[in-house]
Amino acid sequence: MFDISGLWDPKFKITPKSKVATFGSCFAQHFGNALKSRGFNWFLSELPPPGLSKKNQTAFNYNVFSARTGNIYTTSLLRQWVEWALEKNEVPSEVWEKNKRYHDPFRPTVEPNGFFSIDELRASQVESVRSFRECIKSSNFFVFTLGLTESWFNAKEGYEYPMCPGTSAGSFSEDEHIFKNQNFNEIRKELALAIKYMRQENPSLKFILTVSPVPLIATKSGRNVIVATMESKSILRAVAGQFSESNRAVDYFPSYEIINSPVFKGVFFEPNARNVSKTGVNFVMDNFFSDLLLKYPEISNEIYKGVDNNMDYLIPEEVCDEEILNSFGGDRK
Amino acid sequence: MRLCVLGNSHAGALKLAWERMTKSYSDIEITFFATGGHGLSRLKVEGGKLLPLTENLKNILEYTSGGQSFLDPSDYDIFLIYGLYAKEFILNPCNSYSTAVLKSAAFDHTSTTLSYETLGKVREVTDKPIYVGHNPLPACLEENYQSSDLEFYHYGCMILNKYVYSCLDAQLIDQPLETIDCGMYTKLEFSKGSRRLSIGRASDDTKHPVGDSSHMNEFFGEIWLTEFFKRLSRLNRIEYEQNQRSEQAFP
Repeated sequence: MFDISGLWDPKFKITPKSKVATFGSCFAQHFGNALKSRGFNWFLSELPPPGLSKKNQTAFNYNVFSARTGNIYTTSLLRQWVEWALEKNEVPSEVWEKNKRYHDPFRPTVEPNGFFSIDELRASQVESVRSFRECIKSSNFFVFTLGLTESWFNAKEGYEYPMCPGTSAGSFSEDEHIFKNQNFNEIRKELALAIKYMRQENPSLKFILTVSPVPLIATKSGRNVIVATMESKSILRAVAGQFSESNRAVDYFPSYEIINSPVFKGVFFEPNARNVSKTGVNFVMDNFFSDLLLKYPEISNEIYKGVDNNMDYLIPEEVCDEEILNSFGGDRK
Repeated sequence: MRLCVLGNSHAGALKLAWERMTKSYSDIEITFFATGGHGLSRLKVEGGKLLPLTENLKNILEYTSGGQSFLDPSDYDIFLIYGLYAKEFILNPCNSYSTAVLKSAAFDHTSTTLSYETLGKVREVTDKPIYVGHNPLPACLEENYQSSDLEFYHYGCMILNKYVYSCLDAQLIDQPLETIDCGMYTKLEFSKGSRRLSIGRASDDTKHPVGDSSHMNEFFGEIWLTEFFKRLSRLNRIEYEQNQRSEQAFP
């Protein structure tokens, strides 16, 4: 489509046998599907039951990320999941009830209608934490897409929610919930901790960081969402960049730049100027694989074995909790 | 007892078996409405009966049933829907899937099959008991060898009954234990010498190709039907006892 290449100089040789786990914000889910469709080993540690249709797999958040964690938007949420997985901390007991169904505050949309009981919720939560641990222990590569700086915490206990309570479920209380727009140092510190813990568990684990190119749908920062988006993405980009430059086990893939660069004149966005189009997603992933092959041509034979000639992978419907914020009428900001 | 069997090629094993077994079951009458592949999708519900949409299907039904060109539910006491792409559902009971996920998986697994479509049509015309038999588990060919806990198979059958078939007041019948190998296969011996369903064509009763792992022989059919009759007898006894108890409680 565009005669542009060499946007990424990959640090690591990812082979079709390498186990690659993917987590993060909405855009992260494209990596998993692209890996799978091109014959790479997308590591899925939490599988749906047999028979569940593709549509329902997505609805119930299976095969969206490597485990059924839902979106992990911030580096502090990542650190929180890592601590739960490595038993450095316990999953808080908070549960949100809505119409006699029970929602997991840390995976608020994985069960669209909530769980039948608290016990069922707990069992599922334990399984996702166990599966996330399996990703840390058994993966060769951990792809993490940084999505947000804006975050919501429990005021008393200090733990973080992936979404503002009261959006998909739960109820918001000024006394119980606090908003925090994390700064560069906070984000960097949380990412450093998460990576440190994961590498303590699996010293050979390598990381590929990306920044989601998807603009904020709303902001609590008080600024216009255009300004808030640029600030947020700039911080995340700077953290990811600095981290990859200073850490041999961490690489950075420029999906944010590929979509947002003025060179491409915004053509990769849908008419709503927010969602990345399928063409855009394909262009990002094409660059990922072409740059990987450019540097490591020896893996090309293995990659294309048994892979459909149609290299455009089937892009599933994106699962993005943030979209729920649309229903709160945030059209001004 | 008048049993009506609706099926596809897999019903051939039951039909051949029944020809051998008839004399031992003088109290049971079986009528087969069967044709290969998706042929039964061309049945329609009309006037409380199931009618063939094509002349070809009409001729085949007449052949397999011994003269009936349509299915009148009042002619039968019990219905068995056999094969028709209903598949086993092998599931580890130690999973932590939510009820909603399991329900969706069970429904997705079943609802697109001709078996389920046919079940819906039969249920539309009758309140009588309906049973469902899935396609035989595939025969265990050496190159495909895996194994699974038998409990997983039975758990899957239970889940399908709980979340899918019970909604239509039907029941899935699990494959007889003595035919199952490695928890997920049919013993190889039952796939040997399997023969095609007889529908009044030149290929009637000819053998399936060597290596066909999906169709079973009449020995399999005999075990399947025998176990099915035993189950019906148990269910009838339970029902009888329940009725007795209820009569005693409310004379």
